[in-house]
Amino acid sequence: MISIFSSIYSRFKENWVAYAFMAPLVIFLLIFGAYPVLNVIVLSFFKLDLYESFQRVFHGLAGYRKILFQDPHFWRVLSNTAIYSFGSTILQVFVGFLAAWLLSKKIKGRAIFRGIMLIPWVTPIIVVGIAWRWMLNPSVGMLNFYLSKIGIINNYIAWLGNETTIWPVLLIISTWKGYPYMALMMLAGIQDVPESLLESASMDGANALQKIRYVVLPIIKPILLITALTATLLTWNNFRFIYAMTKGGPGYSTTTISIYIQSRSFQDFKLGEGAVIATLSFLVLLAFTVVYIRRGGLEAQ
Amino acid sequence: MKKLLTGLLVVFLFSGLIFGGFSQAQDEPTITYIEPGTSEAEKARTERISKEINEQFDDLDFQVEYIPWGQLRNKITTRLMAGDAPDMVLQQDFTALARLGAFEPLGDSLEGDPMYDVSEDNFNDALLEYSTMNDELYMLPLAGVAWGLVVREDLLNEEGYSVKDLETWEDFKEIAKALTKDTDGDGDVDQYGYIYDSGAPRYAWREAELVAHSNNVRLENVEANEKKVKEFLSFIKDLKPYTPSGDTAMDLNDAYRAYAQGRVAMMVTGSWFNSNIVTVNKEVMKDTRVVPFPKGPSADEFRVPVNAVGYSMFEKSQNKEKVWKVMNYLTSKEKALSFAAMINLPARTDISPEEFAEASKENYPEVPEANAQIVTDFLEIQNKYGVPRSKLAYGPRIEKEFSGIITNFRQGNLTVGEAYSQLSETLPPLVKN
Repeated sequence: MISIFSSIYSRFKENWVAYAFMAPLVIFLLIFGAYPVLNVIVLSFFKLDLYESFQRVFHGLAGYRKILFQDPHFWRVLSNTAIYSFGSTILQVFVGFLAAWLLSKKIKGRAIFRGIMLIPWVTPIIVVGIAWRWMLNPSVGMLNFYLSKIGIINNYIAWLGNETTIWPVLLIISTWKGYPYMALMMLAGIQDVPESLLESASMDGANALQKIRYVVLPIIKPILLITALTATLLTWNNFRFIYAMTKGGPGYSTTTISIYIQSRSFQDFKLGEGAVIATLSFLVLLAFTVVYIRRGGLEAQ
Repeated sequence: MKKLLTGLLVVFLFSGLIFGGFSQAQDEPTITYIEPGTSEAEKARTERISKEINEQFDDLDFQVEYIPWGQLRNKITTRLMAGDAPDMVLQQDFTALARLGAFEPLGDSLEGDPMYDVSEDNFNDALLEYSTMNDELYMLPLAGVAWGLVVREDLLNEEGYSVKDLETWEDFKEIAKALTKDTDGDGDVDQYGYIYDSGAPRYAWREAELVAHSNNVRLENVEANEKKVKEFLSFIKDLKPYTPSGDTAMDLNDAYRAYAQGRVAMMVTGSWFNSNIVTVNKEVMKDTRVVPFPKGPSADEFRVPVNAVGYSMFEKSQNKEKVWKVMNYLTSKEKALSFAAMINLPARTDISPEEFAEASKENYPEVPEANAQIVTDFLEIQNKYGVPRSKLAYGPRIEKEFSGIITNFRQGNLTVGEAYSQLSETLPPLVKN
């Protein structure tokens, strides 16, 4: 036992400068990262409904049972979140790669195109929400106006009020907003692909698709996987985009988990139930991340 | 040395006296008031009145904190949880917090000696009833909010109708149909009879609430009123051809724009209509009249939901007598009139329609007569047909659940029976909660 302590002490003595530099970050993470997460997990075992009482009452797993087996919306909200998160990420990866591939070519005005591409990404999400809501407005929106002028539609469509159109529209806008980040990361990867490899592939008779499939993608795979993971996690927890576009409506048709947590916790003030949903979301994401890292081979890399 | 010490002692004692005097001056209790009106006009009025109160009442220090309507409930709940209760608040939806005992019952105080002519007899009955829960009064009504059917009288007249023809749901359907037309002859309908802007849950519920009241039913009592609720749903379904196809995704602002541009002829809204429409197109106010929503088959009289906006006192306030005095001052005839003339309707019955119309003209100098006509219409509706709106603790949740079902129904994805089943499964547990 004494030897363990002396070993820790000697390691600390050797590297105390490094520990000192790390200390503020570790303290920050403990206070603002670990503590709130633990607090939410603990709260999920209590009933705390502010419109009944300010006192919390321990009720074990009852909150989990209620959300998982009795809540009429939880599973739909979870599936909405999966559609939004995975759908948006897949589209962003696809469009981002295309943009990166095009912008890696020596075309005229490449620098300008690269700058223009970033506009959606740097535009504040609330501005994006307001602008798109206007364009999609069922009464005075320009999308309906032009589509009817060129004869594609006869009646104006409530793009954000109709269950068949709402998700495709949201995914397109979300992709438009998020693809520049993907493109930027992949562009950095593509530029690292040695020119000589692409030339050799050309000499061997590979066409553009084959060069992408057998040369570029294997080289940028680590960047692709990490960026896709980051995008999935960020989209899963993204509250602002859906809130700015639809507030989760009509009804619960576009409510995602973060909006559900917010409304359950700060509209109904059922903080215990909100904590249960947040904990379940955390567990789903944790499981997904572990599987993704293992299956994607990121652990080894 | 001795002199120096004596000098320091004298300075110390004097400073004690001086600062003691100051602290005595600061002993006046602070009354913290939460004001949710955050428009420029409302803030200017609040600042002016706050100054008046501090001048009139030298035994208190009146402090105002602004919290917008949309955040009011959340922020107050959070403050109460943190043990930081203010003294008084202006609000509408008090049910949830009153259940928790956050507010002081005001009934006994109101029955005592009236100050500034504030007594039970001077308030509209429906508004007083709205301000009461479990036989306890929790809000001193300052103003009333009434809902009505806002009508483009010019468009009705063009088709040979007048607002007086809007008596029953059948009349309404007939007129809505006549007003739905292609005005420019390009083959597309560009004017609709009615708009039900059900895109925002809050208004999807509240507008439906008015229509349901006109059939003598409260929507939250869905289980016990199957026939009336099904009549309501059938009526909503029948109106669909006379409403813009995308109104399931529109909110109240979209509806105001459509109304102001003449793309819809009738809409349901509250008595704050003027303060909203004036920024879109004030000219349209000249062609506008307001009537109670026509009667449904199960109703034999007009019924319009009304609610009060009023002052509540927090139970944890340390200065209840002083707060009560201030609340009375703020609901005096003069102050209540100036508030209602700016937005909404007077809650006091001793304010005559003529006084109210005259006072409200000042706020709309470019369309004084039109404004006076509209507010007088709303006041008549409130006073003649007003019934208290339902007070629901989980209002936002109910609104969201309802808007999901009604949007689905209006898009043709549910039959009347299916929509009724979903409403009767969803709403009662939330109402009982």
